[in-house]
Amino acid sequence: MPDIEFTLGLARADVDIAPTRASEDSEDATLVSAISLGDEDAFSRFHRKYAPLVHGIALAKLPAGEADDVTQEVFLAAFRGIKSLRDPDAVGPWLVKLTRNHVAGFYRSRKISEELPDEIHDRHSHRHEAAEILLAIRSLPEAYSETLVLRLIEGMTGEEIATRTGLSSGSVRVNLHRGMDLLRKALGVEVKK
Amino acid sequence: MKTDYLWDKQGSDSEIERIETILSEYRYVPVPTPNVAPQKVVSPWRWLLPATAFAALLLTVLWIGSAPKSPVAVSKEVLAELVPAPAVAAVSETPAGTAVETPASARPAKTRLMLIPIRAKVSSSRKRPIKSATVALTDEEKYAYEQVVRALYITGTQLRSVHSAIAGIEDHTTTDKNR
Repeated sequence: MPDIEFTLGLARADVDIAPTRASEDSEDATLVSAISLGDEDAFSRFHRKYAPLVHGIALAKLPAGEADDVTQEVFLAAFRGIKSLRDPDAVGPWLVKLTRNHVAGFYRSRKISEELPDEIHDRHSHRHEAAEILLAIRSLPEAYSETLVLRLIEGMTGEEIATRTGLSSGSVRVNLHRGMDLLRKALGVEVKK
Repeated sequence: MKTDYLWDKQGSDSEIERIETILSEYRYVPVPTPNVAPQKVVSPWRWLLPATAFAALLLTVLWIGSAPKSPVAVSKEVLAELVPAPAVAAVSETPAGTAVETPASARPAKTRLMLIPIRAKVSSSRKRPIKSATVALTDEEKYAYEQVVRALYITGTQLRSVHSAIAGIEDHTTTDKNR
């Protein structure tokens, strides 16, 4: 029975978000065509809209300071390469891929210098706990870690994650719940039934 | 209706809310959009055209200034005004390149000695092209010419170095010298 409820819930969610996704696609296509013509205002709107997504994807792999830098680099690369984008509606997934490539390139070309939290000796401090949770999230498979970072750190809803990454709502929902279960295990928290 | 805070933030989940609060320090902080304004591309070849034009102009000026004078075509009427009649006859029969001196007895008291550059028949009004390109330069002109050639050499070497650096080609000139 729980499986049936889950399936029904997914179907309802898909119907609900369909118009939203269509309008987002339309907006993205407009932005992409404007940016292709060199419209800096459009690029600024594009940056505001997608920066949390790019930052979240980068943060799932990189230290916080490096994630900020990579985010800016990805947008510069996006501005230069957006003319080569065949499907303007797929700009979100394209950005995700671009970010993953930059992260991979970052690991190839530089040495990672992860800064330790200032209060590393105080195991009960807020920053230490935050670093511990982030490390636990990063240890999860990519699909889970990226989705959890976008949800728990960047504050996006499941629907927003699905729309911007191009994933189906069902996939995002599964990634969120399974990822959360794995995170609880990694943190030593008993999984809620 | 059962809410799913993890999916749509509806309802509440104290555990997830606590994690969100702890992790909020990592959240993206809006920063200014990267500057993508088209910037003026400074080409390493930007000096080539002005330098070449300047050098060409300078060389042209030097060449013109030091070029041998073209044969002067003097008509008989003009010569008749300048030189007394006997001298005109002598000039017309003189072979090219020789100087004609008017006999002292034949010229008036105030007539001065004239050296007429004659390379062809004086009566001929047609200018001949200059065959020889040999240029006799003064010391100043030689110095200026050397400076221009040196400037062109240096500019060319630097441009080659810049070009090599851009193309990622090793500068064999310096390597060979170091060996």
